[in-house]
Amino acid sequence: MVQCDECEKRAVYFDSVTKVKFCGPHFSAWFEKGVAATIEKYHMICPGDKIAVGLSGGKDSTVLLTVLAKLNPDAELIPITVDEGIANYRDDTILAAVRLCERLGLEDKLISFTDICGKTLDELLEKSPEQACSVCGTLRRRALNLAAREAGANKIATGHCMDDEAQSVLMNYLRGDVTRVMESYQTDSDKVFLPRIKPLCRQTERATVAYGLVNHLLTDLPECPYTKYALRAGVRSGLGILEYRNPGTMHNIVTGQEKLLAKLGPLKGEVTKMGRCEVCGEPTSHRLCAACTLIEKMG
Amino acid sequence: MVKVHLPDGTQTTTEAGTIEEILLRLNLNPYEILITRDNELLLADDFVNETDEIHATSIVHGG
Repeated sequence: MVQCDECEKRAVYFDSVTKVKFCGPHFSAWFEKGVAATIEKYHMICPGDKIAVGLSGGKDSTVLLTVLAKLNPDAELIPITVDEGIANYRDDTILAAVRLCERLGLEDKLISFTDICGKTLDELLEKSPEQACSVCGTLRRRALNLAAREAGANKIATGHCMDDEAQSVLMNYLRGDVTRVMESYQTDSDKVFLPRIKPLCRQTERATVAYGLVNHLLTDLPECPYTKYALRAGVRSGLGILEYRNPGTMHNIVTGQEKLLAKLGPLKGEVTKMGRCEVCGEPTSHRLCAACTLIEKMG
Repeated sequence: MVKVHLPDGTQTTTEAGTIEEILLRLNLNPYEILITRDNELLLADDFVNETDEIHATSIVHGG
């Protein structure tokens, strides 16, 4: 039996980078301490914050909301669930989200793609399912922003963990999209969009899901049927293999990117000014925002 | 044989071994899969016996 580093109980979690091993309760404490340290390091939460929490009902957002509620008993948390309209998938996760909110004594706010553009994701993608992730991501951001603003939130928390961050860094390079890598340095978007926080951004996906299992937060849910079309799926699979063979790969990608941006500093030159979308009034640097451009293009 | 509940909802059986051995035998990436037995997480080096029933959870999410 492998023993916990902190007590005599059996270890249930081993971190292959730091080599620590913990029983269930000590693993939970270690995980929560890590999230608290991230929140503090990046000044994510201030007294009086009203935080909208993107809650899909999946593993990451379930853990996020649970840990935020535990670490910040005084913060006002507003769970928001976006119903994209994906048959045989979303109904189950919405139910999981609603049940979690009931357990935590929070009211879940629901917003659907039909509310914001009159169609479900399935209807939008009838002829082009391969565009699923870009269409869904754009509209989901719009839905979350709208619902958060309507609820009077001043921040939006999402369940992105370190694996998501590492995948995004790599995807930007694979697309040759250096602008996106530097985006936050080139616009004044911070002033017009609700700030986003990612309290799990230094936790691996493995630790996040382990926390959910140790604390019996997770139920078996179906996978999104559109995942197979995503570039992210290939990147995730490749990085997962690298992480298994070379533990710490994800961490190195994320911290390496952070070091690179810190070294570059704020980019000199003209800052792109943010205006308002002619159709919906949302912030954008173009005539139409990304969501309205998409809706116009898809008819 | 060890009974394995896979993340896609199907089941399979395999010979006894460590968690890591079993996952590799089933062509699953040990980084991406967490294994529980009787609702308790197991480590990669934990040994699973012929009569055991284990549950595989994928850390991969579809969002």
